Amino acid sequence: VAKTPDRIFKVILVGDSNVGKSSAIQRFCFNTFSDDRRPTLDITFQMKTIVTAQGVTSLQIWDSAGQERFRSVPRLYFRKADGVMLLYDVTNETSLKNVRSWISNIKESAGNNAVIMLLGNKVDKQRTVTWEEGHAVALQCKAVFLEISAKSGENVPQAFEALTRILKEREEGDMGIPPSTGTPLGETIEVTSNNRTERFDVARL
Amino acid sequence: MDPYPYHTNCIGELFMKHRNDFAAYGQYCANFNNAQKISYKLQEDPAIMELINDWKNRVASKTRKFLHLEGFIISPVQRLCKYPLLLRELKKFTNESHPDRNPVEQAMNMMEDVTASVNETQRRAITMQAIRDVDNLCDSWEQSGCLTKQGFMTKRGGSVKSWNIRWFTLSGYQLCYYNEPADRHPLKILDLTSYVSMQADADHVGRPHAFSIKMPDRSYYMYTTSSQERRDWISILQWKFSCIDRSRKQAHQPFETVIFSSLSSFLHPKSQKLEVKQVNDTIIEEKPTSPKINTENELSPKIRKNRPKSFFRMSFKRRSKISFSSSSNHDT
Repeated sequence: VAKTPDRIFKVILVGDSNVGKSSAIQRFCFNTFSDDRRPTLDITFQMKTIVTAQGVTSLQIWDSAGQERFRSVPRLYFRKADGVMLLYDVTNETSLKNVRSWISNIKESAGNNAVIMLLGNKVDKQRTVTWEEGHAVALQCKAVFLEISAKSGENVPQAFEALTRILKEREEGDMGIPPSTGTPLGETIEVTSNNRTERFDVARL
Repeated sequence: MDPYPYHTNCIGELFMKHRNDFAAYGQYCANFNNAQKISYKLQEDPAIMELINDWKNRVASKTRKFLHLEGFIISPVQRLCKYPLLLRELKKFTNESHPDRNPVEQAMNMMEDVTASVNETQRRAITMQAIRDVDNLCDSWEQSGCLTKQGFMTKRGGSVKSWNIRWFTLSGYQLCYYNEPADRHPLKILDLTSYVSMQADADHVGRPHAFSIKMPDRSYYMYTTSSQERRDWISILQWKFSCIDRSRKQAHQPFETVIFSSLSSFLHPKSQKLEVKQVNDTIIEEKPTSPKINTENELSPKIRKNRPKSFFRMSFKRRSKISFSSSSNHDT
């Protein structure tokens, strides 16, 4: 039975070509993965409803395939985005280097309100970028950081759920509603990945 | 037998045939921010939401679900960016000997150029928007009443042409005058947003340091005690008028008004009347034959520069042919 969501958040996936934006969406929404390495041609939007203790939330997930070469066209997407998932490829150092330019573009057009989540994808492969390197960039950019694998599905649902929680709790904080359940504002959200527990300061984001 | 002999399809050719039509995307993307703003506004309208929901129920499938109007309007942007990807894939799987091989490659290059030029158009639109935002910032700062002036001036009566000393205050877009500075109620409030023109030098009324403001009802003549005092009043008033001009111009930008008013009037016949009235007002005020001409030299160059544009916009709205006669007027 489909429940009516209390809130819809607009979430955008960006990042260099071939970092696995569409695969991450596919994994999260359909729990499938195709290894044929074709660029995205079909997916445009996906809706995914997340049921948590706090209520029902929908994510409207926008893919940005084909826009990696450009700087201005993706900006059409960023306006009014609640969350941005910025992906890089842990087997490709250039994709991490480009993260900074993505961040500056996001901040210029989405404003500082959008929650940015930095995701290192493809941890199932032989990595060339360490966890520490990705984490350092995330800290500088004030982004939430996680490593995921769209192929194995590792951490993919966690990433989306963490983003939803952050968005929801921050919004409740903005409206002055004390969060009845879950993490109180100003404290941390914990996400466990690779046996490491990441703590995110909600107020800081 | 294969009912669809796709090995004979020539998709590349089809793209090349419509190559000029893709230019429409540039305009579409440049207008996107406005369209998005309108989509947010429309979503607050229950009547429109009903239409959208009805439509959504018919077109939505399991894999394509939309919840927002903006989801529909971003689709062409997404599609455009995917054409180069699609054609690149197609090229990979098209045999060298296939008749469509070359056209597919041409189409791929062509679509890459199209997306690049759309990006460039978009970059310019963003720059323009940034300029407009700064403009609006100045306007809201202006409207908040930060820029004010008050002082004594001698004003000529309306029906009886006698001169009386009055206390004037200018705040926001309101110019008020009182008998005494301590009076609580002004004798009159002039709403400057409906001004017609200003004459910075009206010494012909027989008084030194005089100027006049033409309002829809009548002209107001004032004089000050010194030329410095008059210069102060004129410069602040000119600043206000240039802000008013700009907001008049912005309020009648073709895209937003035409689309939005036609949609809202479609659903609310009452608001249509209002819209028409506003349009008529502008036409009366901005008619090339209006007495504005005699202030031509007094107004800032910026205002003069903007005028032909607004004539053009106005004629666009009316779909009539009055615009180009006014260009000679501008040259004088």
